[in-house]
Amino acid sequence: MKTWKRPLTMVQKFEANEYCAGCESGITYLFDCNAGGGAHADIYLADGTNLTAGGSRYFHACDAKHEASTTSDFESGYMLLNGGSDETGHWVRNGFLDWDYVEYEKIPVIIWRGDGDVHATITLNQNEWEVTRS
Amino acid sequence: MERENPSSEMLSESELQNHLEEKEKGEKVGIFRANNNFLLRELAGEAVLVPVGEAGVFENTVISLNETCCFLWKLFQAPHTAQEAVAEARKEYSDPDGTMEQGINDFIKEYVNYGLLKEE
Repeated sequence: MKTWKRPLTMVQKFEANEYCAGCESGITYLFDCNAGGGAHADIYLADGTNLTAGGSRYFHACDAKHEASTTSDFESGYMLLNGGSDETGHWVRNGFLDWDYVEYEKIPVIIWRGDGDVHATITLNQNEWEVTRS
Repeated sequence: MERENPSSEMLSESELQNHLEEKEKGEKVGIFRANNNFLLRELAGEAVLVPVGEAGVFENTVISLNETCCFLWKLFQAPHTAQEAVAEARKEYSDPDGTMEQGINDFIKEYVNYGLLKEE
């Protein structure tokens, strides 16, 4: 027969490792700032707010890929190829003495401001964006 | 009317009620059962309780049991009173130090306190 020993319980607490490879939170987009191909422009939010307002402020694509978390705020907007003039249209000569005021074409873009600067891409389908997994 | 023993004190109604309740509590026999939110498993030769479901304070812990603790845990998978647990333990273990009954009572008290055992 076995000898009785005092019942003992040992409790060890551990820190759970919640890292999960391949989870949504581990995916990073490579945001390709390519809108306008380097031409000077102004970038507007969908509600018409000019993000590059100001005589000396303008947008031009840095043609670089920026790491952007999938939880970042990506905003819809548009670009006007107006040379960064804040103008929404320009005068176009129509004949000898006639001029027409023509609105700049609104080119749809997706905007990312995660690093404090304004970046925009004309690749509207996020499924086509390059990703990296951490 | 004169009291027979003038030094004795009469209990008030509330004191009498409390006394009766305490006596009744002492005489009540508890039946205990293991909390099924904890499963017994053997890991590397050691008996451990694995919290599943509502673990409470035992979240993210490993609970290791020695042999007698493991014996009691298995016993309380079915409802038992403390006296029944002692009787079952005496079938398996000798008690040269006479600490078995107290040890089992302490086990029940602590496990109920931490929610590992439930009183039915």
